[in-house]
Amino acid sequence: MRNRLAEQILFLKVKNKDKEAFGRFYDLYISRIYRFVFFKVNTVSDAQDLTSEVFLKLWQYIRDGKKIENLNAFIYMIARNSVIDFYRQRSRKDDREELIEENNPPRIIDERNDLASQQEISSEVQAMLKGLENLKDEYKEVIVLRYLDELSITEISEVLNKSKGSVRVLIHRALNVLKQTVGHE
Amino acid sequence: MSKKLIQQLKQLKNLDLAGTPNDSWIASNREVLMNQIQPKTSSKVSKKPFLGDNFYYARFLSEFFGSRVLRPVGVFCMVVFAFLGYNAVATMATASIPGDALYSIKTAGENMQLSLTFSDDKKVELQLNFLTRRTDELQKIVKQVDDSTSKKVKIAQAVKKITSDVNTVKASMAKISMASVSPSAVAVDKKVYDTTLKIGESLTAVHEGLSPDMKQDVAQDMKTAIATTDSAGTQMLTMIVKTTEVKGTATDSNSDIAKMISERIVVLEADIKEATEKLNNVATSTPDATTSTTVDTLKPSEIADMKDRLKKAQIALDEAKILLDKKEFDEALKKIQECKDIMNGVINQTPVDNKAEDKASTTATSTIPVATSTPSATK
Repeated sequence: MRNRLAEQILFLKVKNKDKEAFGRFYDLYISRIYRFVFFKVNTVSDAQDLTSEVFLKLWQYIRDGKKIENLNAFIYMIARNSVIDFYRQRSRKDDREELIEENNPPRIIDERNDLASQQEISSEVQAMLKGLENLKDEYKEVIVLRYLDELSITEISEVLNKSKGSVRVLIHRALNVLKQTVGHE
Repeated sequence: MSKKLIQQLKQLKNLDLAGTPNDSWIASNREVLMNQIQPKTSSKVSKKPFLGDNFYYARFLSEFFGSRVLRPVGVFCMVVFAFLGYNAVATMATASIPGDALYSIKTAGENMQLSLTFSDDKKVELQLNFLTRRTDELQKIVKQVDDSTSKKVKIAQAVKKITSDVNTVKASMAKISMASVSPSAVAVDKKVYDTTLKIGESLTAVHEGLSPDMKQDVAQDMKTAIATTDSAGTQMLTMIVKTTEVKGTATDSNSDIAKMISERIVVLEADIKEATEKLNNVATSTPDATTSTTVDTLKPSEIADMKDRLKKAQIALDEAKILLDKKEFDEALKKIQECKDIMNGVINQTPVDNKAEDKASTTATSTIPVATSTPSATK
């Protein structure tokens, strides 16, 4: 509760164009946004570039005095749009749309780490990662937002621009597919 | 089953495999970002709020309760706080006396209560309650206020308010009597009658308890208040008699009325006796410094005239007694009124003290019993 309140106060300070608070906000959100982007673009360099861009864009929004209702949801929205723009530009350049096609999702594996080499990782986790890799983009997105980044249904609905009901249905379906893939009973 | 899956998903965020950024990149990127935002925004970045972090806490609360879901809660809380606040102030205001800062809140609350009461009977009952409060306030002023100037002003203010409130009750009662003649109207008449008796008694007691200077200063206001209260009592008695006559004879009511009228006769009789004795004393004694200035200045012919009037007052009162025995209440009341008028005439005829012209009425009141004295309220 105390952390939640502190986070809300931090958001208000950021909205008030407090640079120092923005630095703390960066520290708090950098890993989450990076992970969210990385799950979509699949390469470290692209994830890093896009993540930097997301924070810069957010500051520009704040600086221009644009109204932000929920900063938590808003930064994910910027990240999501940045990834969409990234693929749009890229498809124009080298016609590599297959990267974002549902039937050929990117692998959720850091280039720095090879899954096979991580012997210490339990087989269950490995199965889970593999299951996530094979999920449809929209399923993968809601799973990441809900369970890894721990956004509320309301926040996810804002990020995805969907109703709360649709988000609940999407999460339910995503979990069912993942369950089947991973082999849970 | 889903729980286990969700737990495993949550564990993923702690693994490098699930996309954790490099620490050195985080640090270098932070530096770059902070440098990028610094030059462009230095002029636009807002200054720290005056209230510091409290500003953000206040803003957070305002946004929190301003949200659609919590707005009703916020409104409810505000209503509760306003209600508690009002109650606290209203409780403090209850103990206030005229001249206090909270007194206007007390009277405003009473006025609001009156305006929200639609039944005429209930309205009169409320007015009587407020009238009793005014009398209590007067007694509080006499006991609590030490400063004589302030005390005098407050007493005058309270007494004037009592006069005005009694007049309001009289007007309300006249309205009720015009509207209907019902058993409930008689009950209200009796309540008003009893209240006026108590108030009259209180006013007299307060006046008697004041220091001589103070007594003299507030005499005029006090006399008006007592006269108004007595007149209201008489009005109520007349109304009760008339209502009973219209309704037909009711034994219980008749005995009550007879009691009320006989009480008035007793008081007036005592007043006449007292006044006659004083006039006799003046007529037989040599003027000296200890006797009343007003009576001292009366000529023998004036004293004789006053005695004559007092005799007439006694005759009217005797007639009232006979009429009362015959249960002719209305006629008995008329005779009582006649007696009172004579007594008032005697007082008004009393010459004014040349040395203290402005104190004339006071002196008259204290020397010759006031014809508006009220019978005892204790039964």
